[in-house]
Amino acid sequence: MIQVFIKMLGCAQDFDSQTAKILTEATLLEAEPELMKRRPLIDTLALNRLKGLCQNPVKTYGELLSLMMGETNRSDIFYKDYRRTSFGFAVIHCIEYIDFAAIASASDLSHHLPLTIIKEILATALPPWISSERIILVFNNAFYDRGFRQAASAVVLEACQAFHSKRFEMKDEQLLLRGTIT
Amino acid sequence: MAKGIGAKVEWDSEGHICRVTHDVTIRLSRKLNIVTLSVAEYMSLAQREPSVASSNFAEWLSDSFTLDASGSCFNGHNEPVEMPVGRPGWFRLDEVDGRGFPTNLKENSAGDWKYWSLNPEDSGVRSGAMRSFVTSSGTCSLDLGIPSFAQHSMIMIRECYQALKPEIISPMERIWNNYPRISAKRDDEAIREFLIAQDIGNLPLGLNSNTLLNDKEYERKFDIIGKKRLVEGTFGNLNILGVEKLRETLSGVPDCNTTYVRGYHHPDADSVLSSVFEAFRRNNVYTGKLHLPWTEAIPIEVQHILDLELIELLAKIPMFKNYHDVVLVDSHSFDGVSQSQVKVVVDHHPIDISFPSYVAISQESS
Repeated sequence: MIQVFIKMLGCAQDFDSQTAKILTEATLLEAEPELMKRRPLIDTLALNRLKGLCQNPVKTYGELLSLMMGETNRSDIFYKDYRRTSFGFAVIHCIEYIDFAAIASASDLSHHLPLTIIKEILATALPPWISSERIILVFNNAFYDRGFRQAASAVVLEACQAFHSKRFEMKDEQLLLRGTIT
Repeated sequence: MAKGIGAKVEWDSEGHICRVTHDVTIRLSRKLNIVTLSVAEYMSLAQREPSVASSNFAEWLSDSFTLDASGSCFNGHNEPVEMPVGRPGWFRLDEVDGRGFPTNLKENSAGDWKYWSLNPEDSGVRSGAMRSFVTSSGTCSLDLGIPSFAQHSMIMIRECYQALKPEIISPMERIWNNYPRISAKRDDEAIREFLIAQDIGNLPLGLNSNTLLNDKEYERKFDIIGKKRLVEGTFGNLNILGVEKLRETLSGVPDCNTTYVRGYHHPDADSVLSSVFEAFRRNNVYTGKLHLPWTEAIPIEVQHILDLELIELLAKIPMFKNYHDVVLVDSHSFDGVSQSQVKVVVDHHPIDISFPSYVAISQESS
């Protein structure tokens, strides 16, 4: 979204308040508050510009999250923010943890993926909006392992710990964040 | 030209002739005055320039061979050939004789090239030599036993030059290539300095004879100018667009010249709204052509961000056909779009596939 807005500025296009609000809310919804603190310079400047154009108050991250929670179909929730490259990756915002392993396994099998990573983010109604996270690795048993599970798990754990320090720990191919995210 | 030799040819999205048999390759290359390398020439080249190993294509070499019923091997001139046997074998680039054949075949070892001699079960079948690629080892293969009638989309005729062409980089391309290097350092002051120093407005653009290449240059220009405006904080003389204009975009009636802007499978709010606003932007830039967003579904949260009327207009837009040009946003996977339809990619996810050179790609991780 931000990339499109940058190109718009490059084409000498800008927005009125109402249109800027649409873009701002879509951008806010895309990034978790913790990620917002780490955004690159250009993204930060673009988002500030958009916010500055909005004369009416924009929805908070929590309000936007609660809109997303209106989804009830489990498959729709799983695929809402899902990417498939050489593995599957689903980011899910939910009020309580849900078991998506069966959907992920079916996706692994039908797309010949060795692994699907499910990142579940527990949302709350009040700041800081997110209470905890868990990451589940769903491996495709049809793939010959040859150390892949161990290597993939170690890489994901390392990435999580780099982002959230040692608060992430691994248990049975499931990574849990200890404590509240702030 | 292909008709002149009684052949029918196909080409891929980058214009490389593909699915060609050994015979067609040799005859067509002669007609085109293109050199088809022999095994000896190719192996000599590979020793000098190992980078010729390519995972993107396979290519026939000029030599052909046949095994007779007794297992004796003959070349295309019906002369007997003593060929090392390996089905497969592995060899080092520096262990090759003057004919280009490996002199020391081994079992698999890291970094070696793969070698296949003729299949004894294919006696009487003419085989062509081929250079190909082994994904598992990341090295080339020298395969002398491919049936000469074999056809595959990855078997191509590629251009061969006596020397590398001097690289000509346009000023816009130089800026575009430099920006990711500066940006990756995450040094805000360096990014500011770089962008402020660029005098994009005075660059000569649009000089290509190809419209797609010109559009690609303009897209890069828009991207860099947008960033420059942000770091400078200069927002004067901008054209203010509002919901009325957005409604116009979503009310467009498609024809065969319409360009569609789409996100990915199972779209989220970012994907849907990026499609909408990219179509909106393009309609205000490329005014002679209609650009329409298309989305597979409208997630529930979008229904609270976008006006109901706009949602209804978006939902009514018919799906693109296989003859429409497509702009991919927030995604770079084809998902039902053929590669030749894709002309532009705007994505903040790392792009792990290659696109033809005319495709304008804006990729920046956020």
